[in-house]
Amino acid sequence: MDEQRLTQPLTQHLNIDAPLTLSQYQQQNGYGGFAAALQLGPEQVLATIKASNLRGRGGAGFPTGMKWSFVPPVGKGLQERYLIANADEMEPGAFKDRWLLEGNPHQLIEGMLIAAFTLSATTGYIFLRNEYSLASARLQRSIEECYAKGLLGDNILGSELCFNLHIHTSAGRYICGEETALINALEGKRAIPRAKPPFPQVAGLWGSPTIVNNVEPFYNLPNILLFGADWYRSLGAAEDAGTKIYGVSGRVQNPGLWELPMGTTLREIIEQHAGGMQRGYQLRAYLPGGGSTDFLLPEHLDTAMDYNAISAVGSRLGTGTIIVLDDRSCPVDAILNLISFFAQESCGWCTPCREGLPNASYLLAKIESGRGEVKDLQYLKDLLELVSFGNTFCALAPGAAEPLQSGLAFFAEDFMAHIEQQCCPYQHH
Amino acid sequence: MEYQPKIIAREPSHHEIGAAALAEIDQLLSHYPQPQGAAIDALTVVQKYRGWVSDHALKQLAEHMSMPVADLESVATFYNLIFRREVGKTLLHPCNGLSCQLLGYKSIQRQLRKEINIDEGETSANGSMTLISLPCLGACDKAPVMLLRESTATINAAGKAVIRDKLLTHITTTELSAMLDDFQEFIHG
Ligand SMILES: Cc1cc2nc3c(=O)[nH]c(=O)nc-3n(C[C@H](O)[C@H](O)[C@H](O)COP(=O)(O)O)c2cc1C
Ligand code: SF4
Ligand code: FES
Repeated sequence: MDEQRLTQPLTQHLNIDAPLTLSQYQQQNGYGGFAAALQLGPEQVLATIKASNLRGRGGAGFPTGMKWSFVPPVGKGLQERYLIANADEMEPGAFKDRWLLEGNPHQLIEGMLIAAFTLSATTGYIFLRNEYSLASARLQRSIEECYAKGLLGDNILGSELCFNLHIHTSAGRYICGEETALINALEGKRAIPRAKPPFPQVAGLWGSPTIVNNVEPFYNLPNILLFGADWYRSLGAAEDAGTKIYGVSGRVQNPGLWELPMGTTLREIIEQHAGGMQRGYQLRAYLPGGGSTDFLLPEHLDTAMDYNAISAVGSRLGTGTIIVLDDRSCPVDAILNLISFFAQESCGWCTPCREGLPNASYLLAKIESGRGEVKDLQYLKDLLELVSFGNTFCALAPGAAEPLQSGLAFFAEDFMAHIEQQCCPYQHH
Repeated sequence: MEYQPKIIAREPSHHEIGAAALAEIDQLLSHYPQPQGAAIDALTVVQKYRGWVSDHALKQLAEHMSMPVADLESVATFYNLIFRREVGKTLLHPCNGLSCQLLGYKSIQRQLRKEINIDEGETSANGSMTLISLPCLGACDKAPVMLLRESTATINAAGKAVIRDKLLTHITTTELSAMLDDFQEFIHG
């Protein structure tokens, strides 16, 4: 396909029922992006990735090329370099990486090869969520195909590049997705975040330079190498470059995932692609980027789903997977669900998170069950302060605070109704 | 299908790590520059053959990996999918994530308790099932969902030890019982 018509570079070869084998993928120009990278050489590849404006897709949106450029040049210090694909996907409401991995595992491997070549990485790990057994089997088969055909291992395609790739199957816990906790898990330790600096790019896995990227950026790399940075940037609908996997779940007509231009509006995603609300339900609010993003309201629907536009209206793009809250579900109960998840998943390392989140969860359960008092609302606000950025060791607790803080503001009447009526007003519906 | 009420924690049987498991663990050790890197994978392999990780197996594994038992224990207890107690033949993992809750997780949970008569974390008396809800399973567009899996591996046609599983999607309370029976049939017959 020529680049003019290629509008879905991440998913054009996706096939959930029967993902492409290596030779089928190669017939579709698979590993062509990697071949182009070998031609260009590492510096040119890095320059192309930077010029493409590709940004991270694991939540924070850090520019990928810039992250890679922090890796010290070979020859200084430790020789080993590690590359990690973060496929832990445990963010509430996120289900995009599973889709990509099950649908076309070879595109991940190709993206990782491009990164390994650029960064002189010799070993790669796919840090895979335990429950993703189908993705695991398909990845394993694809990796074996690559070894058999000289695309992994020593002197790949006759080049100097030696790269071994392994799957690490996680054994649970949301905190493993945080990149330094992930590195501890890979070292066979408890997954507790590390202090930064040093950043993993400089001193990560076993002290060596380590790059951790979400699964989705790797799927972007092959076509950036094939068609160039200008083409890639032109795919975006607004400020940011490329395409994005967006998802919607909740009481919509057609929940699912779509690859769309980065910066597609929330309205188009929710109303057009997800088909709007189910009959008998109204849109009350939504979390635009998974469970640790602030709620947004129907009045924000015309916002572009990209990093800056979503931040400007008070939330985050996060994972780009939207959870829709309908008017017949209790918002207090929804927030309780999220906060009890985050409380359960706190790694316990720092006190504000270890103590603050279970307390918030307790107070929310108290209000939801009709035993709440007005002063509990103030306690909740105090706890938000306690777990805010700067007070905790990692971003788990501040992330958990986001739906709670916006929820307290947007659903103040619902909170009060629970307290005044001494019950959940939604239980009667 | 008949489910008997209430749990009993069975006495741990004498757990030994067999040759097949050790061979798999040694293969995984080659993926890491330091043996400890394979700790989580190795615990998962032990569990795959035995369903859970007993004290005895933990000690044996620590020795095999040249790791202090206490270190391995601290890893084993951190990760929620490593079981340090015996579990039933089938693990029921309903998703309690937000999207599943919005689409009816709570009524599924109630129905489940009624059908199999066990509470969260418990194993049925005949040892057939253990109920452990898990957070968002990454299938939110198919909510509500539940993952069913065997706790112990079966040897497949290619001679490999594999855990069989199935993700039930768009579950309704009326179909729940039939869905569970189907899985039992799938793994036993
Ligand atoms: C508590 C927590 C959980 C996270 N979980 C994930 C995850 O499951 N997948 C992911 O890619 N990034 C996750 N992240 C972000 C990673 O730390 C890291 O920033 C990301 O993998 C980098 O990839 P990117 O550059 O593509 O965004 C998590 C962060 C935190 C604080
Ligand atoms: S914020 Fe929570 S998850 Fe992060 S280090 Fe502190 S206790 Fe652990
Ligand atoms: S909330 Fe159940 S699969 Fe995501």
